[in-house]
Amino acid sequence: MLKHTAQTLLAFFVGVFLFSTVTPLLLAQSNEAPERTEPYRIFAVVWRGETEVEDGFREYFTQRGIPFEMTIRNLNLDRGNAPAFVEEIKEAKPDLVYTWGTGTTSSIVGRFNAENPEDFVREFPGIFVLVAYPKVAKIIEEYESTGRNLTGVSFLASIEAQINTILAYRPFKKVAVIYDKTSSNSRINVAALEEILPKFNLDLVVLPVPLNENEKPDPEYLPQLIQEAKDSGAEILYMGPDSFLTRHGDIYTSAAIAAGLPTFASTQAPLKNSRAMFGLVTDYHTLGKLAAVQAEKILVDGIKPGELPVAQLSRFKLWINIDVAREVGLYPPMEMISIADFKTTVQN
Amino acid sequence: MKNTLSKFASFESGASHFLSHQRTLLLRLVLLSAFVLLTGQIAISWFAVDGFEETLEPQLKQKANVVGYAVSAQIHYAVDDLMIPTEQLVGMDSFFDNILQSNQDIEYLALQDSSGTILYLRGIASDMMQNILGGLAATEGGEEKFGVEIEGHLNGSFPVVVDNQITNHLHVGVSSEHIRTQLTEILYEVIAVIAISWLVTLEFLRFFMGTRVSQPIENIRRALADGSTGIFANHLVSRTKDEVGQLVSNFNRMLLNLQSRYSEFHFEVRELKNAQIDDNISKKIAEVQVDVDKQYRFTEGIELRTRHAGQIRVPLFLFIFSEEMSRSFLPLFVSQHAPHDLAIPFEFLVGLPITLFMLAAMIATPFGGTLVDRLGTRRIFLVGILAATLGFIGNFLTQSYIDLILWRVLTGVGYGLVFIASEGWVTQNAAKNTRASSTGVFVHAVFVGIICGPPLGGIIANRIGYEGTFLISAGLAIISGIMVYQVFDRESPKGPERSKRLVLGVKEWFQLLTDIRFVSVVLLSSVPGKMMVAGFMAYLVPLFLYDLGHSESSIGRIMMLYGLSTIVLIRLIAQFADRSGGYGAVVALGTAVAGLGCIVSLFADAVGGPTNALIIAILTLGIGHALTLTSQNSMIQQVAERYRSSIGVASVIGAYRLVERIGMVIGPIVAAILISIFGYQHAIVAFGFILLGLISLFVLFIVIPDWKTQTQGSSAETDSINA
Repeated sequence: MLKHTAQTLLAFFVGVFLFSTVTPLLLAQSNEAPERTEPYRIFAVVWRGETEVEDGFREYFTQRGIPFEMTIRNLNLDRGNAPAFVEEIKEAKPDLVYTWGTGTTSSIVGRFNAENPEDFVREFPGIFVLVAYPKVAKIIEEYESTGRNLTGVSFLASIEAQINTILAYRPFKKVAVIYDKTSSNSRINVAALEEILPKFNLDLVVLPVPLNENEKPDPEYLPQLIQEAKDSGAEILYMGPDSFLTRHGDIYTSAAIAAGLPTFASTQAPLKNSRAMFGLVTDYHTLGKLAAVQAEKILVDGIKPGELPVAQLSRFKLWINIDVAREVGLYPPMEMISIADFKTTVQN
Repeated sequence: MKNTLSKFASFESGASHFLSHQRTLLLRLVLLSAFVLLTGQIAISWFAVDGFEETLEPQLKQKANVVGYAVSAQIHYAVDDLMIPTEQLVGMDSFFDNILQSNQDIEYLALQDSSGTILYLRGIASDMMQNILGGLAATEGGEEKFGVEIEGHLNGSFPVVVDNQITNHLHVGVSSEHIRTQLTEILYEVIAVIAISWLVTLEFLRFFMGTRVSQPIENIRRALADGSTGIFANHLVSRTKDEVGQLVSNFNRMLLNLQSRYSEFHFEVRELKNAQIDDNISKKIAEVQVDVDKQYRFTEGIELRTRHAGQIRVPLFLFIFSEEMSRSFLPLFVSQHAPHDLAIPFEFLVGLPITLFMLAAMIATPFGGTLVDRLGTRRIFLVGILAATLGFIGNFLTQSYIDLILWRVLTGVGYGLVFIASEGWVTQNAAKNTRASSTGVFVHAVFVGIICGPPLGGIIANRIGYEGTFLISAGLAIISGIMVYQVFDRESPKGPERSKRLVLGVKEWFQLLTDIRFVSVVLLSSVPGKMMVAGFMAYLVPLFLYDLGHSESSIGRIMMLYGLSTIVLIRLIAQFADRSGGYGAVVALGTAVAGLGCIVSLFADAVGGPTNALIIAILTLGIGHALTLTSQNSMIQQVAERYRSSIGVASVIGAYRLVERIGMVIGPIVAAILISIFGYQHAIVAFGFILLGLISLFVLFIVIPDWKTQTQGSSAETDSINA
């Protein structure tokens, strides 16, 4: 019996040893992309022209020596252009369909429970980027397994990480969020803030943008709303992934600076194109590479998209506009200075 | 009874001639090697420390320079590139604090503006900073960084350039006290390493001398002594081919020759006798034959082996050493992995692996005993070492709290098996050659391990981390295993001396647990003693010392004091207790000393701080255990004698060993409770009061009644003389 126990122990030990040495070798091997000469055909549809995401995507494939051809079509901020592209994609029979943004993705590949699936591209593997809330937008069923021939990369830092960044800047007590109540992304974002902020002992002021006669949010109201936020005692404005606000970022951020309020942005656009003060955002180039890793798994390794969890970046960019900080009178703390990316000039 | 303790003091005491042989030889060898080793080591260490001293200061200055340039560059970036006015910099305190935190050599950081005002300062008080700056201005040697020492501080100034003008100065301070502390630290480490290497050398010398020289010579001596009385029947067993081995085998060949010639002679005499016609002559021959047979004996001899009880000492010592390596940091290692978000208090989670280790060892012991009876000591020893080694390797690869515990439990099982196997080996072999007490071998091997393990483990952990140290433990355990594999005889006998009734029945347990003497010794003295070993030494001490800012190697050195104070005193005290005969009083004294030592922590300031108070508690615990360990054994031996015909002496002692380990199991739990209520320092005081409380009961139940019977007995004697 003892001999048996000793043998079992020994076998166990040898097993553990083999496992720990052989596994990395196998993993290393699977990283080697097999030779392939015929290029993979990728059909990409973007929302408002090409971005750095596509650059990052291409760069990864080139670096890895994976041959590919990328066709790019631009919706130009209009979902009405989608059906033509759907037809074109069905005609072209690409190896992978790439969609940029919530609008593009839902108009090209549709919701997972779409009533008229034949109107969308569903037969080819798909990958989405820049979709803020794919689950709530009903593009996927779950983050772990999407339930369809589609996967993607998520680009927002968690709300907790965003709040931690805000609090590391200054111990603020009250946050105001102005949002477009007609957009599902914005509503989801506000709901999440309402749930999480109390855990950080932060008060929240919620201000929806009033609608005009066409039932659209009216940018005219923005300065007024910002003054309202200021009057309610809010010390900082939070700008979520809201395409209405992004579009009117200049009006928003100038009003905020005029009111002496800092603006935190969770996406890159208000920092890059307007004058938000700081934000915890995704680097688009890195995001594109991450999307390419997902694409490689589908194309080269033959993994079904439905089995690939939506990938998440673990590092984000802390972006500070030092000119705005100076105007608002809130210089960043020393410890942020060493890790942040700074922007000193405004590009419009 | 009284010589139990003298036996305890040395296991060789059985053969006095042999002892003196070994002593002289060993003593000379030890003195010689000690002289050579120590001279060399001290010389090398001297040069090394000297060289270290020469390089340490420049290195520290260089590091401070690097920090100074890096920090001033960041301030420059903020002030010049980002155009933040110096006086409006935000979060400078926590910025400086973090740098000081991650660079323990740097003492302070200060930012001074062009007017000379100190804007931001962390690390020292501002009036001290003013003194330093005043001193700097006075020396006017501002160019060379860290050039002048002012009140024990070396200062470096780094200009912050804005718009090509020097606007501010960053001051970086290095404490010269810190340099000296580091040097002392290194010196202590060197001393510890020399002491350990010396102890290890001594152990190995003893081991090889015993096996290769002294024991074979002793065997020849015995054979010669037997020969002088006419016994030539012995057989010498030698496995070595060295000079002594050759001597032994030649001697053996001589004996064999004698034996075969004698049997030839015997045969011829018989032939001669049978060939005689005259009955008288053949009768005469028969008489001569009987006469010769009476004077000489050539058959039914004994086998003289080189095996003796003390051989277990080095492998056992190495094994204990390997386990003790992690002693100085185990709770720290556990607290790195223990989850914080459970409902169970964190202190318990940190103590749990120690408790489960002890429990595993305790449970493995009786099973191990049965296995030893069936499979022999050698195999169980090897299995134990294998289990422990796997446990060490597992801890080297630790990923989570759960697997940490599982591997510790595996090591614990191995520990229990090795212990019982060693005990078995000693009982089997001691009975043959010497009358040695098993405890002597144990106490020595265990305590040398306890002395060497923590400081060396601490030094290593300080350099290569906790996980790596476990790997070295595994290496030591494997060496111990190889020694057992090579040196121990394959066919370890299933000794008839060993008690068959190792597992007691309900009746016997009831008998023992209602025996007031047995229960008093166990519950009021032994269990609390073991509780201190596992709860105080293994759990509280490392955590508290780490909390006080000591490094792992410093923790290890302080913990070493426990084993040292015990081993230095144990022989002296054994003799003292034997002479006084009042074992109970000695036990009470030992426990009281340990208890009072703990209470010193209540007045920590009076002895120069909590570290000193803790050192006193550790030293007194060592002294206390030197007093109690031997006397507890004697008391239990006395109790066991009373059960000689019913339960059996060995079984009572076995039961005692089993029950006293409960202290090891509950120790960390008690410590966790006390720490969570009182904090570290007052938990020590609480331990002290627990010991004192229990020992007063012991005095009440045992010491006072004993003393009464003794005085009554002696007065009765006087009465009878008078009558």
